[in-house]
Amino acid sequence: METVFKAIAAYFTLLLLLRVTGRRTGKRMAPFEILLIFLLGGQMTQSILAEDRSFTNAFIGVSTITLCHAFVAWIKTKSERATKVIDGVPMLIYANGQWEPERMQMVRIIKEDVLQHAREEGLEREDQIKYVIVERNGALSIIKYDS
Amino acid sequence: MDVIVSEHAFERRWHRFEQIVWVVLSGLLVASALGALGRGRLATRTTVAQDGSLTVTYDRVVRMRTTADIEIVFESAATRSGEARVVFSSPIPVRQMAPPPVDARALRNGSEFAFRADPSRPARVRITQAPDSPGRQRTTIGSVVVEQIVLP
Repeated sequence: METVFKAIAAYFTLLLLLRVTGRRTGKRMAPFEILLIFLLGGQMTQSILAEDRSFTNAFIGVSTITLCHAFVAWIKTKSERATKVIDGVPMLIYANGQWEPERMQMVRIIKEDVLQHAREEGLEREDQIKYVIVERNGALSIIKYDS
Repeated sequence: MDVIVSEHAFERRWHRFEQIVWVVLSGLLVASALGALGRGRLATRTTVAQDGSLTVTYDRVVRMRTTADIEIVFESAATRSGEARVVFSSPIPVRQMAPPPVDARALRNGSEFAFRADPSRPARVRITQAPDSPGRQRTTIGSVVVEQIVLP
């Protein structure tokens, strides 16, 4: 039973920590994020399993985490507020020629990152951009003016 | 339905919450560095028995299934017979005693241990414990009350 409680605590602690760490900008996971997930997971595993290294205990831990994950996915379908808390909301950081420095600071993104993304999208000038949105998964969406 | 949405009120609230979490985490790390979460300066306490016969140094905050030491120093007056005796009011989760006791017996309310000692100088006994469950743990060593908080 102790493993179940520890696994639940570990799941929600990691969910909170990863959520407050901030969203990743760019579609791919950066090396430091892989490092973060491995280290956080490794630290928690030791605590969850403690001295009981049996398969049974590992199975209980993994099953608990799977159920937690299913529960979080279910609650997201039931509550818009829960979805916002768990996944965040899209952040509009550029609209009609105006940057939103406060929001950029919140998502820890700089203008250069956005301009690089715009170049990758084939844009040549800032005034071709209508909106820039940092999506919930950290991806940048650039909406162009209709040509 | 407009796909370009902005939820500034929620963004601000969440950002405030994130800042609070960072402050709390930083506070916990500082507390940890100082020993408030065990294994540090703030956690350690030294208590002398009323009659001065023994001194007990222990961690007020310990961690579950993690070893922590309790050091008992018997003043030389308490070891005149070549033996240092101490009574524990309740069982503590002992992993090791150094030096090992020469005698141990269960009492109705606890247990008594005897250690070989040199009467000419204070005897020092180190007890390594590892609590099995979280919460408050209270025991009396001789006349010294040892209260510990066991973190999960």
